[in-house]
Amino acid sequence: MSEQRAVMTLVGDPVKAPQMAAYMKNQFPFLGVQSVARRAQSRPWLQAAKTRPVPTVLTRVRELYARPEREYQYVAVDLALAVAPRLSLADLLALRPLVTEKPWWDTVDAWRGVYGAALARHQDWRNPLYGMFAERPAMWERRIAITLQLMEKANTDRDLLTAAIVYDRQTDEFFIQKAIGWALRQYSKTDPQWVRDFLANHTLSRLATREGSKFL
Amino acid sequence: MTTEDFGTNPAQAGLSDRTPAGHYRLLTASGSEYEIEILPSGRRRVRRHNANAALRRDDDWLLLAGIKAQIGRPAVLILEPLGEGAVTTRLTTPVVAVVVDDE
Repeated sequence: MSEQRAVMTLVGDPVKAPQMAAYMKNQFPFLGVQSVARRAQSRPWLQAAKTRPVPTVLTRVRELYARPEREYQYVAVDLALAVAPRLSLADLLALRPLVTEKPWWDTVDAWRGVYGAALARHQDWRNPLYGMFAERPAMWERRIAITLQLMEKANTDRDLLTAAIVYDRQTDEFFIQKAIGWALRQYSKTDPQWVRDFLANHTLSRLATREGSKFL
Repeated sequence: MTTEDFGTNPAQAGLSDRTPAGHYRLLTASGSEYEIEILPSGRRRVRRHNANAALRRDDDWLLLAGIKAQIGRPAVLILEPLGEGAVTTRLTTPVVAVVVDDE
């Protein structure tokens, strides 16, 4: 264990650390490891994770997530993503509490990547994956319900997208409205007419409307 | 409702009337999520958290007279009667995940 912990230590730049913390509104301490350096440093762990038993990797995900420095949360999500093809719905449901642990857009959107990867691989998991995040009390979870299908293009279930947006269309929360705009903007690359019709038939916030219609 | 034991790992075995006390979550194929609480006294209750309501009311705790939930099969939830009415049995869509709840 101590050997593993020693291996899983990131080396940051103390000059960059306060800048990175400031970018995240000083909510979290940073080591000062930018994404390129982080990926380079964590590459051996991510490679090793691909062949380790899933429960072992998920234990490590939780351990890293509990560390104070923000970069460890990023690596934790990267580890989950590395084993995403092997995760069951029970694994994904059990990981969900981490979404609302020290939540901010950076980690929440990274978690969306994990659940989105699961969806890409298992199209028949669409309803349960959506159900994990829809109508949840935490707005960060609902942000994932809204953006879950970002990469789904023509496979997007428009009924689920509509349900997620309609549920939160009056929620006075920047990160929700931004997510609504993001989801619509992304889907407008696939079906611009559907997004035009959606915007015409639903009263959305100015932010969501502006973001959603950017490519129209 | 039988009292067969599905084993000790809810994630693999599901929930039954012999599942140990604890807090569990069921996820179904339709995306509905059920929170199940089993007290040491044996008292059980359920509440559901999202759309496609099949129970009486979402987000209300309902007492359970029995439960049987296995991965890949619809869960059977037997609700305690309200007043002197008959018990109500609810079937979910097939269960796709069961986890011990730590939320």
